Amino acid sequence: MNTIIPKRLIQSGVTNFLRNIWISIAATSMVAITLFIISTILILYTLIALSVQNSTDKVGVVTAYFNATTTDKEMANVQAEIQGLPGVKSVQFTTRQQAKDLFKQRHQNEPSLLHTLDEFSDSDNPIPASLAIRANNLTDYPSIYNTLISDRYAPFFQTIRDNQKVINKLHSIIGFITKFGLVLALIFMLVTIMVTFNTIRLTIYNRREEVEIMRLVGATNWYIRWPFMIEAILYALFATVFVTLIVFIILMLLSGRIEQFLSVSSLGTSLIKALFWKILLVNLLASVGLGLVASGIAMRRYLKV
Amino acid sequence: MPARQSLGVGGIRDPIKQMIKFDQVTKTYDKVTALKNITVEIHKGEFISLVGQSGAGKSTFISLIIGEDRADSGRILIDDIDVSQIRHNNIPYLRRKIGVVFQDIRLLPNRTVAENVAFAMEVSGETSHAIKKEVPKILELVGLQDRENAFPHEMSGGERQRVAIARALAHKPVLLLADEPTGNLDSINAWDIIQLLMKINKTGTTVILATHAKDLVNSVKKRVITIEKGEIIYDQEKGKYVL
Repeated sequence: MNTIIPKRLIQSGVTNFLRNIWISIAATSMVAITLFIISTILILYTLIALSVQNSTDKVGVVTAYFNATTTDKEMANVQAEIQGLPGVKSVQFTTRQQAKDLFKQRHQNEPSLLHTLDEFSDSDNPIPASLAIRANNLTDYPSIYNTLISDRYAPFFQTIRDNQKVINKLHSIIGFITKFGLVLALIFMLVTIMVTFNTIRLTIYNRREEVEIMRLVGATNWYIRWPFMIEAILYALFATVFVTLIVFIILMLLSGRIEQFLSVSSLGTSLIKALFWKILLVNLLASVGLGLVASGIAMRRYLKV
Repeated sequence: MPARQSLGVGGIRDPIKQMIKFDQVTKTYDKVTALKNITVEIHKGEFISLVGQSGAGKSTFISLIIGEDRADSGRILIDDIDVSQIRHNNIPYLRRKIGVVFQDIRLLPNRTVAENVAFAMEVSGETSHAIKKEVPKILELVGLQDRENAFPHEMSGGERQRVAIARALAHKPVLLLADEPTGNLDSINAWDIIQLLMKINKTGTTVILATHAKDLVNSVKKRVITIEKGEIIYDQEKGKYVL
């Protein structure tokens, strides 16, 4: 008695699905397209977040170049002082010699540049010593920058370079992609609700006699409603399985290029695994949610119980 | 004519045996009064012929009993359930106590006779085992034991109406409502259906037969309630169709 009703309801839902198989396939495809878009956005978002993290570590730094006249002692004091500023994660000191070596290394394929540099003696080394200051958070950079350009430090530094602009740009790109993705997902969700709604409406119409008789012989409202909801859930399940598989095959095929693009050695199995579960869960929740909303509206309007 | 003031009779009868009680029930559809201040009692085991011309209010009477419509005023008690106050969610349970048969029969065309009867039992969560056991018994009662695998389109109108009656009996209802069950049948088939209803009545089920078939009502020789323009104008024991 306990299991017989759910069994019959599922059976009835499956019958609904199979009786209009082509319409069901069309509805499932629509759900699948939406899930595909949602999955793509999710992957893009994850990869961009990863890439931003990578680039923030690289560009998210304020570099302060010392005056040639600043003494070693002053440099050490300033470094210690900056180390103590709020929000500062690390301060890395680069001597003039280290800077010169680094410059040489970076431009080793440009003999004319190296030649020019070699014109200077070591004591006249034109490349300044510098402090590379990293913050705990991206939002800490502006205040650190402002402190460094204040009068307190003016005598020691010639130039202070921050990468706020680059960071800002990066953030606006992420913001744009997120917004664009969300709008796109929203549009497709609405279309999916409409398509599913219409399909369920058709099933309700096709089964109106049966529903009428069910009411007469004392079927409860939920007994009448469940098969239509199960039909919508079936679209969701098929679409979720299909899309999650497809997306992962594509992700695997493209992983080499993605790694290249992000300039990381490997995306890592843990990331892929986490992404897989995330996508499966999001797809499942999104599609079942959309299906229930759509069938709910259809039943409210067309199913008299 | 032994017309009976039904209002006064209520106290005479044993109240425990009361099956249906309409107490000053009025129902209006878009300014047309379908039932006007109806008061009537029907008792367990009775066979009632509810007669009147089309539009007199017979169908409204039935749809109020099964909770399909709500009365504007008055009380309707069915087996001690106040249908006029019943919660929407409880209507299905009321309907499992009442079997209904219509003129247009309403069978599922793509299911066999046995499946049509089983359908009613499935809905209320009966086990497959119970369904398998009960359906042949019900089909035997309506005389269709040999047709359980036939589809509705392979049957005559009379046979189809028997299937509908079998389906209505699936829940072992205490009350069977038949709204013009013979409307689409020839006189021989119609008489068969009436006899079947009387047979069911003999097993203890209260039967209400709404009809305007004069000859049938006159040969039944049971209580007749006559409705005209939404009012009960006659209520007679062993009555006749008098309109």
